[in-house]
Amino acid sequence: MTEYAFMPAAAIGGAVGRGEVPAAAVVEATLQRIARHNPQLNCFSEVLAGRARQRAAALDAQIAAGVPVGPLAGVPFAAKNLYDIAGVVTLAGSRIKRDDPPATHDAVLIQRLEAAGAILVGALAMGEYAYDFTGENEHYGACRNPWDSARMSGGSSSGSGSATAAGLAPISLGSDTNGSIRVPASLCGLFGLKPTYGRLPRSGSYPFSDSLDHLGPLARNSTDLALAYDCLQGFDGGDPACARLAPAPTLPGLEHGIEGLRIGLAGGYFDCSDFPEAEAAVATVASALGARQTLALEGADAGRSAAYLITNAEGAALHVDRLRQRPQDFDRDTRERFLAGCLWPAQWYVRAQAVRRWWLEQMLETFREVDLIIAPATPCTAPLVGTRTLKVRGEEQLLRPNLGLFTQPFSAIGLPVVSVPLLSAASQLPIGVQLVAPPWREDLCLRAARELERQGVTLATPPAQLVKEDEN
Amino acid sequence: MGETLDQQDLLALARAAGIEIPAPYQAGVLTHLRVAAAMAQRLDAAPLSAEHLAAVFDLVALAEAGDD
Repeated sequence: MTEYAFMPAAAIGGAVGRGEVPAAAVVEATLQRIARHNPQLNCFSEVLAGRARQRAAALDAQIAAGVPVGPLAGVPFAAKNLYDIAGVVTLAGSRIKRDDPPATHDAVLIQRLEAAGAILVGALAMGEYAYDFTGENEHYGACRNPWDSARMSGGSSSGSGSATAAGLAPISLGSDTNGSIRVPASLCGLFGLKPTYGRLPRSGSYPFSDSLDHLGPLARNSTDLALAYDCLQGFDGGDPACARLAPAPTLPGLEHGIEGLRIGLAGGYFDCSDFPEAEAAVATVASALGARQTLALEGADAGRSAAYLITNAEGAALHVDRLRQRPQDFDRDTRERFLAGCLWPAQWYVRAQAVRRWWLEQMLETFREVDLIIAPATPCTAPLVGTRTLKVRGEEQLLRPNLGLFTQPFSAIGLPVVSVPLLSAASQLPIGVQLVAPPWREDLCLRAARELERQGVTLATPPAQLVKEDEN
Repeated sequence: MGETLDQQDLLALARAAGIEIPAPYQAGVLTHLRVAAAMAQRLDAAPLSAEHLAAVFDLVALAEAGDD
């Protein structure tokens, strides 16, 4: 059952593709492992055992017949439950959408991973309507962290973080509006990629805040992340925001290292001297990558405020009818924010969009001086489930929005970011660091992530609590 | 708007938006409305031009232009 649990996706794909391991064996082991750990972690909202077995049998038959298969042959993956899966209701973490009919088609990104040979094993838990950084959900319970099940997984791609960290799927798909891939990647100890806005099509996924929504993968190492990302790329007309760009494969350049790259450290707003674990992680990465200058990044605070308002307004506009008709069926933590978003004046929204544009221009100027920026991903390691507040700059503030304190300014302007995992010496829990590049330069983020992995800086061990449970 | 916003203002805004906010949710909504007002205040620091206002939604095009 544990044989394939922490094997890299690239290795599974290679072994299955060469016919050394049947896809059916990988899938059976994965399903058994999900059955064992999901009751505690609560990361899968639906397990698709029948579909996965069928797909594995078909793949094994293809391989036996000598038909070429893709690089992800037999690799189990799972998708946040805002991705459409044919025959499954797209919940988006909500109670209200339970009443919807099942989806009739798979989301485009699911189709693309399957075209590369990967096998979908289930739909993953998430915060309601993706308006969440914690992984808590009033309707379905908290999704828990495999490093310590008393702790939060992070959100809103909570199931994606928890399942992949627990060895239940080497690759998962998430979404990131303000940090919802990078926050769970940080708290669960994973590599997470939020590509440039417009890079990956969102066709067949349920939106949150259209001008900020991104989709992307999470994985346990940088090669798997790059491999998955390369398989996901390509234009699709089903998403009006998808850029008409040819795929830009990142795997061929992944081992090119960081020589010649000008790397800066985010200062100012991103100063994390109040957050010792984040500060230590950032310092380690800065030293390993030879970051030479600290950047003021003036405007980040305004950029973050703009993202907060845009999210609130666009999310509220999407749900206004449901808020009128069924307010009692929302999660308490999303309902009140959405209701507030229905009420404030339109000029704030317009101002926020203009500030966002200005903040992007500031950052494009900064990228004339550097190629890559290092910043903290989360202010802290995974808090205990139920924690409501966090001390931010000496003041007790709501935890929920502040877990995204450092991620929100970058997604606000659509920059590509990889979150890389480190282990905090203080708590022995994971914490992430963001690698931020100019638009369309996901390759730079991935190369730097690979370099950190090569140097042994990033976390490479499975969660200790889970390993103990596996041994029993 | 902001700290001075009170329950009466909230109900008036909700009425104008055609939304009835049940009593148990009102305090929470008011809190989040105040947070939004604080965020809006922070936007005043940005020195915006007419061009910023004219092209607020063209994020993809701007990103493409930045890729040289």
